[in-house]
Amino acid sequence: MSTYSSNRGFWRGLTLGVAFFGLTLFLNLLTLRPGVRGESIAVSKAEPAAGKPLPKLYFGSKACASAGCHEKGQVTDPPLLCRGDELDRFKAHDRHADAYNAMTGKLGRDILKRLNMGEPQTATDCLACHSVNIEKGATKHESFQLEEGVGCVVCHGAHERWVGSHSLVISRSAFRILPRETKESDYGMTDLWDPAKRTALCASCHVGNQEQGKFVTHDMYAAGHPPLQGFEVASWSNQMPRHWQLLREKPKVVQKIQGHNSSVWEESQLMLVGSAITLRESMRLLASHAKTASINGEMLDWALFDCYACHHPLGPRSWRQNQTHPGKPGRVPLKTWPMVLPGMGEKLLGSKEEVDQLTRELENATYSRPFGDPKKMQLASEKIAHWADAIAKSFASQPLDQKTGPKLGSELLKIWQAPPRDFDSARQTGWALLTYHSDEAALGRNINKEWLKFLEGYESGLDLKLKTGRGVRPARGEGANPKQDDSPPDQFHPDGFMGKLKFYLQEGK
Amino acid sequence: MGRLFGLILGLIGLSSLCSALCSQILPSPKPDLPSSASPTEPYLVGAGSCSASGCHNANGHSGTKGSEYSTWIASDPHAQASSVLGSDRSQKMLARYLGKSANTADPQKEPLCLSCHVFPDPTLNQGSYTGRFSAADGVSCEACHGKASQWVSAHYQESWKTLSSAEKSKFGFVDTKNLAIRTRTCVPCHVGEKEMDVNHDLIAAGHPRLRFEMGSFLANYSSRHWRQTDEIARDPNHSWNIWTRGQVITTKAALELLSYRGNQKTKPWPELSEYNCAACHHSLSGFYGNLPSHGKMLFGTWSNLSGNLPAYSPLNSLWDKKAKEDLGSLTRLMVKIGSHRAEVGSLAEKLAKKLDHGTSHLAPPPSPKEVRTWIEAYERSIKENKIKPNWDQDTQTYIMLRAYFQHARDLKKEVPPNLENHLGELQDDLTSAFQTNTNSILHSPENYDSKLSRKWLQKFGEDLR
Repeated sequence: MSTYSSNRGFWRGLTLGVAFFGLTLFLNLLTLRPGVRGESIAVSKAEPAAGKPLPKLYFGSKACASAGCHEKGQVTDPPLLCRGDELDRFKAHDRHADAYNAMTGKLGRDILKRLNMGEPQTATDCLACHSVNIEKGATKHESFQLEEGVGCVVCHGAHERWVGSHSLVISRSAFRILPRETKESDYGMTDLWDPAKRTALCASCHVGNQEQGKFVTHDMYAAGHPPLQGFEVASWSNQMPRHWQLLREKPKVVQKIQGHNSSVWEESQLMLVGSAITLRESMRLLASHAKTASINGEMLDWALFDCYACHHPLGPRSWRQNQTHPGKPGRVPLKTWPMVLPGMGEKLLGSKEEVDQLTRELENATYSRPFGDPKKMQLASEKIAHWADAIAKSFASQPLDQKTGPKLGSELLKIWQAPPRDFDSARQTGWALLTYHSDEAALGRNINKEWLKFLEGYESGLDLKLKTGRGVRPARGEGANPKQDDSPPDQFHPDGFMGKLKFYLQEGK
Repeated sequence: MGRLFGLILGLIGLSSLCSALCSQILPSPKPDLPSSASPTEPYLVGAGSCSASGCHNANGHSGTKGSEYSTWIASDPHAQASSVLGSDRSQKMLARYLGKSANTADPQKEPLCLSCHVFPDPTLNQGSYTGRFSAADGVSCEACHGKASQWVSAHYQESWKTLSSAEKSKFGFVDTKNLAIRTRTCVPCHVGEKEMDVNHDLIAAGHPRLRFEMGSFLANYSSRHWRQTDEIARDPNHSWNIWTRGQVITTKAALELLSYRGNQKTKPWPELSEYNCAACHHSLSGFYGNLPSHGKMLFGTWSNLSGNLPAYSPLNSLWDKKAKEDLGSLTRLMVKIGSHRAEVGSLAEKLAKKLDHGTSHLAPPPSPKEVRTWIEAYERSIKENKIKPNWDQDTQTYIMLRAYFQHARDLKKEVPPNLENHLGELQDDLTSAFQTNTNSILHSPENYDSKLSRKWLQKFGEDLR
């Protein structure tokens, strides 16, 4: 901070002094083992992480609020290094703060009871996403509270080294200019600016991650857990609401350090990379389940399939029957939404043949019998995960600029030349377009406000505005507010949507 | 005199013309009834053979003797069975099922369709329909009464009446007056059989699911070409007996089909049509905690295969201890939904064989006290969580009570006055479980609140006190 606030005078200096004192006190509390503090301060000599795991520390939000750093901080316009009001935003609006409360409310208690899972504070299968499971041997700071839900520590990294280094006056200046990769590898501060890493972290809960014990089983759904919705990292980050600044909103000095180019379509880039990572994570989840299922001769957990393939009203004039079904009718498809954006992105890069062939391979394995052939599905999903990882790297290495950016918009609209497969797939395109338009607006390009209004509004039926805010009831399923749940996904009618879409696209011209 | 001569001559001429015509229609009429049927396979002669106005085409009210053909052709849905295959809907359905384009799929040539929509024999195809038999007739006389080549000319002779049911069957004649035989005639199509299988693939392609129950199907069969009063005159317990026979034979057919599905490696597995539709097909919006499934499939709820049978089921007296254990294992394997198809196949085969001679020793109609005991036992098993109530099971219970009620009415016995009202109300609850009332056969009773069961059972228990 000293770099940026040298012109601020005496009072600022005094504040800093007090803050420094407070932080030292705070660090004394944090660093319980001898020697650790010394290491934190010795920024330039930090040991590489290779081989030696960084010491774990689970802290609560109080640690981040102390000394006025991330709560009730002074918000200047434009903000300086960070907003300073991260916790105010988080506590007032962010549903992640309610994650644990969801387990102790009526619905949460009912679910635990139906699943015979005991008390919320010991239900590790739930806590993996609704708060955090602390490993044996890890240090728990006194500020840590399960009740904070998915708090700061979950995303930013449960390691004491970065917490100390980034806040102590004597070390922070040196810390700040370190590359993000080093901050993560040597200090344990998760590199959330890397779109791939951020998305993988979000997707571990919003899609699932078998290795981390994060998976909403069909039994959990049946016990009342609301259905997981299709996930899109850029628009979901924005709607949290965001407690950070985009690079384009940061001070020039920071932009320079981060190598930010002001003509880049920043959010769209995140959306593209994120979509490939989300696909990769969903395929890895499928592959690991398929592996277990094929070894044990069991069926795959139904939670891996498209919920609305079964959970839909039956009827003779169902639009489902007029769809071009890639397999036999009556065979249960996987969720199709994760493929929508990466498939489109691949087109943007050039070819699309490889992914089409891989998709067919997975479809054949899935439709060969009801609920699929796990062995073949494992092989196919591993291949797609591999492909998605590679394509995420291509998206990340080719910045969307004034040349390639505008192409994205037209490719996104092209997806809708054919009716979407389902509600979640249509939503992926919807969110991607919102993200794209947000970049357009920031870059000073003209955007059609009527079209945006249609897309975001009730009329499109896409429900693109997430039910954000503290204390909000589940968006879907048991306990949902019936008024909010007025466009349930199984009622989504692709033909109806296409009709409205055509009307608005023509009106917009 | 000349006039009289002319009349006689004319009559002779007419009768010879008539017999010449008849010989065209009927295959080689034999003056005497042969002692047994000829060794050649019987074949189809077509509904036209029955349609002489003096025989079955009197065009009287439905149910009157002699108007069987005219009733069937005018109002029996079976007569439309074939023509629906020519519809756009059928063509699309088959195209979806086969994964073909719509113009290359032809339901009127597809043995899978023809074997129920024309004649219940999957080995027949369009090419094997012979002579006067026309596929366009739909499910006509011989589909139920048997291929008629050997009995058509015999069955109107006096001596035919002296033959026993078994003797008639040697001519290929099906004795549909026997309730067990009649039910066996219906199940190949209405439950399904080898290669006549309405499985989940076909249902997903657009075919209505099969949900057969003999007593209620007959009760709702308004275009019956026989008289209900004759049935009751023949057997005063008809309304009860048709229900018990239906229960046993339908379950047997369901087991045979399951064993075929399990053993036939080329058929889909798991076969999803074996399960309760509403266990999966329900909306996820709003509250769905009242569904009985809790994330599991419900197996055999319609065909009485779901492990714990309600006390009223006539199958209780037919399954021995070993069979009941096997039924439990079958249910467990089916609910587990894994790759246990061969085990399921052999268990189902074993269980089906146990029902081979089941219907001859079924208990007579119950007393009100007995029905009350059943109802109370059923309610207890729901309370003790042994039976999970669901639409299928509750509808079967409703049908049992209807059969009991109808039987009491047939005998002009006194019935509890509230029972009829309560049955009507339960019927409303069961019907309103469907999303819409139109085309309800295609929908799932997803809105049924399984908590209703106990309320109804308590009411019926009181009514029967």
